[in-house]
Amino acid sequence: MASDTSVETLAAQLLQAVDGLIDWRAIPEDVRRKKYSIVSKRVAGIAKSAKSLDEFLERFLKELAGDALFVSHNKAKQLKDILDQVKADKKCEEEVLQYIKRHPYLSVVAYAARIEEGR
Amino acid sequence: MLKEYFPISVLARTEKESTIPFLDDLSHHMMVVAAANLATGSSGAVLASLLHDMFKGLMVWRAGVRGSNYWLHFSTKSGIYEQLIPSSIEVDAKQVASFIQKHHDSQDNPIRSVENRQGLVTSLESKLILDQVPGKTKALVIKLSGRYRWLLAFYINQVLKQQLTDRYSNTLREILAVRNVIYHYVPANLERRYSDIDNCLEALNPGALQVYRDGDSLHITLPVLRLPRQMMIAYGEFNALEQTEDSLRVPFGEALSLMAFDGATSGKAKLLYVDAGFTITLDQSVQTFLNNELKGRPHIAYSASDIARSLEGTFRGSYRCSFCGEEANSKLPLRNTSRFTSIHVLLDPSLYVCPACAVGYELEEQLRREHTYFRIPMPALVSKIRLRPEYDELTNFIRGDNYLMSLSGEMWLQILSEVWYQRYQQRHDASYLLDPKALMLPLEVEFIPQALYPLLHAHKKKFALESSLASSLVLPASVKDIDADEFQSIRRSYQHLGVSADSLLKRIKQIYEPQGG
Repeated sequence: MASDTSVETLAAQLLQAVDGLIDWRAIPEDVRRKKYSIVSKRVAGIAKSAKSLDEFLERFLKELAGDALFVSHNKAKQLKDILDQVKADKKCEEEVLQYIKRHPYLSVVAYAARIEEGR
Repeated sequence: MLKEYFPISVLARTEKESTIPFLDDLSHHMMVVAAANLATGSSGAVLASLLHDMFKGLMVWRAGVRGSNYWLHFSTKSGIYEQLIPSSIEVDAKQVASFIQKHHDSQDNPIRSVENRQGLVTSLESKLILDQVPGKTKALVIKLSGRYRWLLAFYINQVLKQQLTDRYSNTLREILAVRNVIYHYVPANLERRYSDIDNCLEALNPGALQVYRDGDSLHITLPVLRLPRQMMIAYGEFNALEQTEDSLRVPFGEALSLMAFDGATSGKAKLLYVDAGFTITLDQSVQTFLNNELKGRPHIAYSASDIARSLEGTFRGSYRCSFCGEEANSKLPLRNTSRFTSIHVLLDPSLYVCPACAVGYELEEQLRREHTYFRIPMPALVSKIRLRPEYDELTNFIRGDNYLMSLSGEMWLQILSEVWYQRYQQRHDASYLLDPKALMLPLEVEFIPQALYPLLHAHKKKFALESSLASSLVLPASVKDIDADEFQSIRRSYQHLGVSADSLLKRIKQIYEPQGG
């Protein structure tokens, strides 16, 4: 049963939106091949010390993208929309952050599976 | 999606007062009662035991009332059971019918003697066997005070199950001239409003329910109301557990024995098996193990008897084993001591070791040489049970998510784990792997597979001593182990995300990096 408001889905959508801002073509092939493995370890490391969702996303994007940011209006809007949806409810924001902290690898599994299925 | 379920079938019993269900299957319950009656040598008692609850799947439970004088789970009509037994089966059909129809009343009834309060079935279901061996069972006692002992105990248990399979099969052949018992669960497409079993049976074709023999196998049909599809559970002389989407073959040894732990402080376990009139000793199991498993391997300086005594904790020696603390009387020259992380062992490569740990040590060395990825499936954890929607009239009858764990049901949890790992190795049915469920009508059981991994982690260290046997895992992984909590989170993600099971499983493999495939 798909549910767009489940904490699992929101966490996956957020990470997916950040992934969309990165110009993966500018990243070396050998790194790209291990993309999700690398991303999951980064998410785990950053989430551990992040005090807020904003801080987590900012650091995640910075560490992952480096100079390889590819921000289009459309992609930025996707991130903003999902972030607005999450932040509209303080409790929901906290739950999503806690979920990513507790399940960093699973969060990446989820967003990688969503990308694979073209969601 | 019914195909995702592993077929278990029909709930056998509930606790009398609370009506909370015991997790055990109907066919298994009848097989256990029959095995306990093998000791009587009576073909009538054994066949009656194999059939006695065969109409339980037709019982329409009603809220607050299960059984009463007018609503029994067996037929009281004369001639019904006699009709089911063909003349080709040499048995007194009248006696069989009498045993079945009086199995709740008569004191000297062979079925009742197994099912009564002091009997085998109640003992197993109440799980109150920590300090005593239940009636109609035999037990081999083993002491699990060290990790090498666990490793050895697992192998001895496997050997015992094979020995039991042969012995039960031979005994059954002597009594009923068959080696396997095959239960066919079949949907009974009846209207729901029937007053009693006999009323139901009138609407069924009795010819289709007749017991029959085909070669070495006895076939028994179990009609079940609202069963979604036909299923088969066979007990017999099989080498290993085998399952398909709609069938399961369980070796007798697996179905009629179990490892029961005495509790954390004693460190003892019992390898219990149903008493069918024969005895298998620990010495015999150890001897078979030495002949089969360690054949051609470095010489074990101890006799089967010494190893058996050591395993059960009665071996006498003047020293203490460096691995488990049990009594020992000779030193074992250890190879590859650099693999040990214990300073004590590193400084003295020749230590006093008890016979059981000496064999455990050799086993570990053997497995390491063979690079065997080694896993001991443990009984699955039940994370949720729920009433199937088509049985909604039982809402008041089956109380919420409660269930009682029974030792006899533990076999099913063990099987659920084993089947899950078989399917995992075959990468079979991703949706089942991520969200495993089983049917035990009228319930749906959600479970988490569990296994011990005694030879895990660092390849250059003593695996058995370094790994934690106390905690079960679903899958060990390089990046993050998948334990029960993580597995539940994965299951929830699968249920909520709406992505396909195949892509989720593929990414789990890529990101978690589970060990051993």
